Formats: sequence, structure tokens, C-alpha cells
Amino acid sequence: MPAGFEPHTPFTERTYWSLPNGLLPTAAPLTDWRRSVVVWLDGPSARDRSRAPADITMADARFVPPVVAIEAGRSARFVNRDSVLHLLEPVSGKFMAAESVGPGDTTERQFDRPGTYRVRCSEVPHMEATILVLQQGQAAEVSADGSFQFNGVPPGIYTVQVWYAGEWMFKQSVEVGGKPVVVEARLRKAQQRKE
Amino acid sequence: MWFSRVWVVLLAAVVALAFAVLLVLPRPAARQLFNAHAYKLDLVQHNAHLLLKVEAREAIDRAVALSRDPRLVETLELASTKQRPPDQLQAKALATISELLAPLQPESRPGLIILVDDQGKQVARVGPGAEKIVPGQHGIAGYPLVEAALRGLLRDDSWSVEGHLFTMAAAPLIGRAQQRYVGAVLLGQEVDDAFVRRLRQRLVSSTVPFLAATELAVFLRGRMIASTFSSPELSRLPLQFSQRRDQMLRDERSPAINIGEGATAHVVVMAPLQSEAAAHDAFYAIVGPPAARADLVPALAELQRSDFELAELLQAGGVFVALLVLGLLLLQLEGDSPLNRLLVDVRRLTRTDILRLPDRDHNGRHGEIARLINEYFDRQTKRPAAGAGASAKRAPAGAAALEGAHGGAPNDRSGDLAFDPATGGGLSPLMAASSGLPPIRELDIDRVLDEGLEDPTSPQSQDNGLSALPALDGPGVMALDGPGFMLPEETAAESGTASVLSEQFLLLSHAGALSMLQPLDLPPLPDMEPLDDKFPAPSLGPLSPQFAGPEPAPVTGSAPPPGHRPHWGQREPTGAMDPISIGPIIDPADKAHHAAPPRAAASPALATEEEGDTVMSSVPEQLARSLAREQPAATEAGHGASGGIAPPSAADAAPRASEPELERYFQQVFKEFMAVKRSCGENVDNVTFERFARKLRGNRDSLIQRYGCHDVRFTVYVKDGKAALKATPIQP
Repeated sequence: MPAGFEPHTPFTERTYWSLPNGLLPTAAPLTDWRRSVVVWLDGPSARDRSRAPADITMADARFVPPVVAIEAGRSARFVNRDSVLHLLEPVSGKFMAAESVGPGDTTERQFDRPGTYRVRCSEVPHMEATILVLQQGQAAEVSADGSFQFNGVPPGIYTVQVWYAGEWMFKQSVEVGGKPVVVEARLRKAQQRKE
Repeated sequence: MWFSRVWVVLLAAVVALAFAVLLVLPRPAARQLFNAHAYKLDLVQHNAHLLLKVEAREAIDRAVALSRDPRLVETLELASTKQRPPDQLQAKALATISELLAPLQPESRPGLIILVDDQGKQVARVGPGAEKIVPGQHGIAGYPLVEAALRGLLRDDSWSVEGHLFTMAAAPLIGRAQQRYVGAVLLGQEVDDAFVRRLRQRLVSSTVPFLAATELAVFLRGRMIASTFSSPELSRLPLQFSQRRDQMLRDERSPAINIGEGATAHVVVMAPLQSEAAAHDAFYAIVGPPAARADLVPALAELQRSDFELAELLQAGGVFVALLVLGLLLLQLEGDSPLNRLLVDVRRLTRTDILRLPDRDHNGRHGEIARLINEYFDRQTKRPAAGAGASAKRAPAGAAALEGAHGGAPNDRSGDLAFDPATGGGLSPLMAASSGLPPIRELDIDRVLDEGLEDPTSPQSQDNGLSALPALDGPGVMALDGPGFMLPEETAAESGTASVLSEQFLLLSHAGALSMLQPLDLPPLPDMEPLDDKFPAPSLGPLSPQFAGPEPAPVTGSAPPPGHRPHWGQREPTGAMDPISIGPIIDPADKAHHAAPPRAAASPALATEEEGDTVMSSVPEQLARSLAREQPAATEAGHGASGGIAPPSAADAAPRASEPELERYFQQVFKEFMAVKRSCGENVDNVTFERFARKLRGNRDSLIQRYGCHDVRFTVYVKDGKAALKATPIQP
């Protein structure tokens, strides 16, 4: 994460004041930015054998993780672990109808067509989740130190892509043989968060 | 006419342009006024933005003050380290908050207070949703405000909580060791009527009228949640916001818009509330008075005396004079218009300078008018004299006589118009046409020849009328028996006399005849007095010099035969003429026609119209016999007789034209005749003046001799597309 990285602040996040307290330095945000990074291995042999839905949890008035990547045909499941009702609705488009999810409830939605789908809670407007639906491949989680790992990949030629701040920021072709392959992805500074 | 139309078009264009200018011209001024008005509202909105920022900073300061309370710090330290059960910490925190808020006025107390630990879990909550939380479990760390506060930032926000709008402020709580953030305190001020009233008090000044009339309203999720005034027009603003949402989120305010009409008209500037509530369509509206109108009527109402400057009035007057001069110039140019040229030709026609209107010289409708007038005269000319005679026969004899006595215009209502000096008797064509009377060409020669009458306005005619009257049934009433006499209805009813009144006779009786019969009111004439004294000759109009006699002829009378009771109007025939055969003049080879013997005046049937002859109607047989019978009697009886005064002889009333004058007259008629023949396209090679004059002279002499008229007037006219002559006996 480059220093000074700050995504564009939409109007709904603008404030009159945002000041340091003058006593202690500003701490790191509780929400780890790495949870918003998706690393995707694209290739015919890299298909995700798991057909289980990808969970997106609503807790502490936020989606965790805020971004998930799934193959076309898989589902995303929204789990409400908050004490308040969340009303899910698409940010744009009509890929799903508005749906209320009470505390402790879940809802599931299958995505058959590749694309980028954004869901938000109309009651807590800052809550927004992104579902990346890809034709084939598998995703890897990013650890706290920023590393990621794909295991059991058959030999072949693949493409490693990294999604962050609303766009695919990194893409590299790799050939997998009998030895481990190391890919280093550097994310450039995002000038603007794409809505 | 063309210029008249141009002038009307120009005038209409000027009026329309002036009206359009009056309507359009104030609009730029109105736009300027509105823009200035909108600019004021923009300033007010900008001030409101600053005030909200100040309010947010003041809320942050209150949050900071609260975050410095050691009891709250201690509570959140315990909550972050989970050293105490959440319930106990909640109770302790609420007690501390209650103690801290106690000194504050109720309106100053925050509507929402939330304490969160270092993980964003709610430890204590005061306000909406407090009953739903589970301390230590329900976190709100996802809120940007909470996350920022837990990072150590002082921040503000706006939240929509259970239908209420709050302006939020958050401050971190720093542990007693000052090594880390142990939590955050969030203060929310509900945006209600009290909030906007307080904001308005700080925003507007009562010393500025515009600001004093400015109001505030706040909306959330499509409904108004607070305002400083009420107006039904405010309900329209959420729709306006939704329509302009993207633009407003980009520009942070809307342009000034007009809402409402009349007394409820306002100008509004809307601005979204920043932060999270903007996603819930939270916005506030600066509502100002309507902009001053600069339309025509309001602008006129605002005029003051000082607005009128002399120089401008002089300029307006100059424009008026210029337009007036332009209009007069166009009117002057219209003197050469087609209508004016037609008018000139018609005037020439009435003066007999021309015999036909030059219809080919006029275009369009004017030419059509000229052609129609010419066709009308042509039709009147084409009517056979026999038809007129038959008409006279259909009418009673007395009526016919009366018509004839009226100078050939039986339905003419004016005795002055009855005799046209230009034609020698009867109305001029144009006068006849304009009065709806038949032209003299049809009646003058026929009726005069048939009835032997002269101009009724002449003394002789009046005298004849008097002398012919057999009896009077009272002053001013004429009771005439016998066919054709005018008989008042009551008198006729009393006497039981059958009277047939022709339409023409009735018309004549209204004006012309009554004026002619005016002498009937006189008492019976006792003696033979000079008629000229009692009945002076009326003005007959300028006769041609050749017909002006040098001295009046002596008055002669005729005595009715014994036992004869002459009808009124059955007077001495003063003229009769043979038809003038023009054919022989034109075509000398037509010997048979030329050699035809003249028809005698005593002949009962003279009206045999021939090709090329002057139209002639037959002399009624009764009148012819009467003429033959009375002429000798009058000659023998001389003056005076019982029963009336004999009229003077027309032949002796005035001297006839001298020979040179007659020659000049014939030349004039000849020229006119030739001109008409040429205009009709006839061949004039064989026509000579000598033969023409000889023929006219012969006819003139014959007529004078037979009917005792003073002179004969010849009139050229067109008949069946050919030139023809008509002879008219003339009385002095």
C-alpha cells in the first residue's frame, strides 16, 4: 500500500471537519485495506472446484469482505450479524431486487453472467459490497502482510490479476511448472475511486 | 389603394412590433432582477453553509469536551480491555453522561450520544435506538465517523436515524496513559424546528428586508422535517431535489428556482447536507421572496414622475412626427392610385367628357368596375324603345304622361335632377345609374315624344299642369279621376274612382311630382297674370349656347275643347320626332332605307326600330289623336279660356339657335359620333359631315315643325356595339 494512498471521497463521505486531535497521531483504520484486494488466477485449469456460496457478512455496519470474486454460476450469500435491519439493493442496474435482511438473517443471490455487481444497504449508505463474477479461475485471500497464495495449480499458462479500489490494477501472465512461481504485484496510487 | 394597404400593413407592423417590444423588452430586465435576486439567495446559502460548518465545529468542541471527562475515559478503558461486564460499563457511562448534561439547557442537550470502545462496539447510547443495542456486541465501526474517531480524528457527519436527522460530531477518547485511543464519543444534534430557527436567527438580519424575508426548511427522504415557516409550495421541493440530485451533489447546491404563484411564490436555493445523510436525500432549502417583476404591467405600475425625461419625450415626439410625415407621404402617393384614376374617369363620364369608361386602362377590379358600368349602359341602350312604350302602356296614361313630364326620368325624385343640360333632358347616365333610375337614353326621347311633355321644372310645364287640372279636392290634395291619375287613397276611396298607380308614379309623387304639384296649393287663379311672375323659370342648368334664345317667347295658351275635361299631365305635346336614320348617313348605298318616308307624328304607331336608327317608341294613338285635335284648337282659341290657363308655346318660349351655332353644334355632334364609331370599331370612311349635318338638320326641322319644340338635342350613344344617335326635343 503506497504511502498517502487515499481514495476519492464521494460527497456522502465529505465532512466539514476532519481534524487531528492534537494529542496523539492518527492511528491506522480498523478496516484493513487488504480486505478490499482481490487476487485472481485466470486459466482453464484454475477453476474453483468449490461451488459453495461466497459469504459476505454484514457486521459493525460494514460488509466483510467488501469485495469478493466468484466464477459465473456461483452464488453470494449475505449474512446479517448486526443488530439492525439492512436493506440490500443494487447500486446500479437491476440485477437484484431490494431485499431486507434482518439481524441474524441471510440471503443468497446467484450470479450467472460475468461482470461487476455492487450492492449496498439503503439504511446505512456507506455500506457497499462488490461482487466480481469471472468466467473461470479462482481467487486468493490477501494476508496481513500482503501476500497471497494459490495451491494445487496444474502446470500451464495463467494470468494473475489484482483488483483494488474499483479496478483491475495488476495483470501478469505466468507459466506454472514443477516449481513454485512468485509474482510480485505493485499497486499504483489510485487517483480516484470509480463509482 | 396599394399605398393604403402598405400603410395599413406598416401601421400594423409598427403596432405589432411596439407591442412585441413592450412584452419582450422588460424580460432582460426581469432576468437581471432575478439573477440579482438569485445571487442574494446564493449568498444566503453560502452563509448557511458556513453556519452549518460553525455548528459542526461547535459540536466537535462539545464532543471533545465530553471526551476529556476522566470518568468516561475510565469507562471506555475498562470496556476496551473488557475488564468489566458491558452492562456495568453501560450503566456507569449513562450515569456519567446524565451528570454531564445536567447543567445544559434542554434545547442545548444533544439528541443522540453514543460511546464506543476501541473496536467500535457501542458501550452506551442515549437517544433513538438506545433500547435496541446490546452493549459490547453491536458495533458501528463501519460508519466513517466512528472509524475516523477511533483513528484519533475529530470529525463531523450527518446521520439519519430512525427517521430523524442528526448532525453528528465525534471525538476520540485517549487513554489515561495517553498511549492509545480507547474509544470515541459521538454527539448528535437533531435537526428540528428549534435547530432551523436558531440557525435562521444567526443567518438573517432583521435590518435587511431581503434577509428578513428569508426562510429555511430541511428535508429528509422526501419529506420536510423542519422549517421556519409553512407553505404548500414546499412540498414540491423533494421532487425538485430528486430531479436535480446529481447536479446538486456535484455543485453542492441548486440554481435559484421559482416555485408557486402569486402570494405563495418563492425563489428557492437547495443544498444537500454533507456526509452520510446526503445519501438519504437530506437537504436544506433557502426560501426567499419572489424576485421583483419587470413585466409590462408591474413595470408601468412602478413608473415615477422622475422616470419621464424631456429629452426622451422629445425623441418620442420626433418619432411620431416622422411616422406622421411618412403616412402623409404615402397618402399623397396614393393620389396616383388605380382607384383615383377610376374616380377621375368617372368624373369625366359625368361631365360627358367621355361616353364610356376606358375599362382597358384600369386593371383588376377597377377595370371590372368600369366594364360593369359600361355594360350597364349598354344594356340600357339596347332596351328597345318599344319596350319603354309598352311599359308606358302598362302604366296608366296619366302616369306615363307624368313620367314624361318629369323630363324622362319617371322615377326621379328630384325635379332638379330630372333635366340634364348635357343631354337636353333627363338624368345623366351616371346620375341615373347612381340613383337607380333608368338612363335618359331609354326614356327621354321616347317618353317626351310619346307624351309630348317638356321638362317639368320649366314654367311652361308647371303652367301646363295648372291649366290641365280640372278640379281640386282641397288644398294640397289632387283628386284626379281617370286612368293614370294620382289619387290619394282616402280620396279615391271616397269617390270610388278606380285608380291605378304605377310604381314610377308613386315614386314621382313623393318628391318630384309633389314639388311640381306645389302650385296646386294655390287658390284658383283669378286672372290671366303673367306666368313668369308667378312661376318663374327654374334653373335648368347651363344649356349649350346654341340653344340659348336671345329673348323669351310670348306666352300662349290653348283652350280645351268644349266639354273636354283634360287630365292633368295631358298637355300639349311639345315635341315629337321622326326616327333619325343613321344608316343612310353611314352607308349611302342603302337607298331604300334612306328613302324611307318619315313617319308622321300623327301616326299611331311609329315605333319600328330599324338597324342603325335612333331608338324610337311609338306615340300612343290616343295622344296622337289628341294632339291632332288640340293643335288646331289651340291655334284658334288663342289665350284664355274657361277651365285654365293655356301653356305658352314651347316654340315661342325662347329663340332657337342661330345658324352658326347650329353648325358648330352639328360639328360637335359629328365629332362625337365619329369618335364613338371609331371606338366601336366601325368603318367611318364613307361618313361625311355634310351628309351628317344635312340629315340632322332635316330631322331637327321636322321635329320642330311637328311638335313645336324649341330645339332638338342629339345624343350619341352606343347601341348593339354600334354608334347611334338619339334626338331629344328641347324646351327653353
